[in-house]
Amino acid sequence: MDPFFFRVEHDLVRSEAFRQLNGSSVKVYLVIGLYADFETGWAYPSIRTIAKQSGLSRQTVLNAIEDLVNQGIVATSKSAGRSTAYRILHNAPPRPSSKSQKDKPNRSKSFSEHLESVPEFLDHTPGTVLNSRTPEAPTGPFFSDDEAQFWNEPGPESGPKQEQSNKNPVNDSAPSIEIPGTPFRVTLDGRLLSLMSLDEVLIKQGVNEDSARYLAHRYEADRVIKAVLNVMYLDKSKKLQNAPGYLRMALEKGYELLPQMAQKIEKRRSLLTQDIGQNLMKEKKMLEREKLAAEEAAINLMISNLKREELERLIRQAVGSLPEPLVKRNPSITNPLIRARVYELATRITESN
Amino acid sequence: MSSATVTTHTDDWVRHLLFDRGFLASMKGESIKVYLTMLTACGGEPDRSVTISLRSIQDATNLSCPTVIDSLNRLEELGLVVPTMRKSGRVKTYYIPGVPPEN
Repeated sequence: MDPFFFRVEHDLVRSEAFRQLNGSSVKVYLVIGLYADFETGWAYPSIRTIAKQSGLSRQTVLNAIEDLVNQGIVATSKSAGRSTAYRILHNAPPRPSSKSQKDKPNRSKSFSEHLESVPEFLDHTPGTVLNSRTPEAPTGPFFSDDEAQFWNEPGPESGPKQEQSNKNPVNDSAPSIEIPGTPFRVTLDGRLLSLMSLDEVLIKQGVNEDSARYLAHRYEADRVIKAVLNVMYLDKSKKLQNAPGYLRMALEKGYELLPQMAQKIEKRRSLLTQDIGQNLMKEKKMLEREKLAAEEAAINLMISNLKREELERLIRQAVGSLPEPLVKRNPSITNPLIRARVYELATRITESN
Repeated sequence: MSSATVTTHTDDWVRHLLFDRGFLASMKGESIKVYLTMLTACGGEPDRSVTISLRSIQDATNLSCPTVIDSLNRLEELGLVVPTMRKSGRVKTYYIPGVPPEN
């Protein structure tokens, strides 16, 4: 029991989240860890108990719990008539070293890797302690089905749900344009599409695999893409220290696009509008050219089928029917106006026959 | 009976210290972060000496230098860290003692 408590604590100290938390949140975390059920991991301390143990006021405790939930360190489950249940999530993002900060793909770490990162001084603790942290079928309350999936052993029916297809709108047939430097596209009506599955996108931003799957499933694709775009912008501007933390917060609160990012996307969208306009013009011109070519082919066919005498007669008729200035210079079949007139007359004759 | 008590204190001395003795409630501000960082550096064992710079604590806790020093002073007042002076007298070092005696 006690070494188990230590492990939880150590997980936190080594995580990036530890740097973001304030002292009150750390205290509340420790108290929740103290009251956590050995088997299920759920803790049921009242706010009053937490406040008493941590020496904080009720309001500070409530704020700290909110902070822990926002950071993805603690999950809560509220049910009517029962005290709120808390559970420590052992997947707080690891604190990157100065080297790994440069190497961003290394920011994410899976749950199993966290298990392996238990410090040496705890390794001599009895083996039963390690087993106690192995994910088991929990008997406590759950705050969502996804969380249950995350903690359960993968059984025949508890495998990850394949629901990403509708969240990855790459099959969308609407015209879209890529947003440079991102795996996203924007459509003419401003919708954002992803070329990759959203959980992969989140993993690339340093969210660990399990959380990424959960977040991608829980939130709308549009919200996830907006959050990731914000992270990409802030990261590029070197204004972001904790990308996974920001992502969680942005998804939960439904952050809109940053003005700079929104402007960039708007530019791409107007470029798309321009492109589509140009393409339409090109298509129209091409159609007109094809129509003219078809007409020309029909005239040639009709004229080639006429007998010489008949053709000469029709040319004379055409020259007589057209104003003189138009036919004075070139009164032959090579004159387009005469050709058209001959075609018209020949068609009339064919129809009357 | 007495041996059982000793065992408990040895195995979960931090828990005993923070919760049973109420030091967690006594720690103010960001002291808990500094204490946990120092505890981690010491390998979770009491009365063990380890060298850790202020900068390392700052990096680990994301606190400013004055806050870390202030937290160390608070921990010192509580008896959770014990200051020791080196021969030169310039560098102030701390070690984490085991469970401080009850007053």
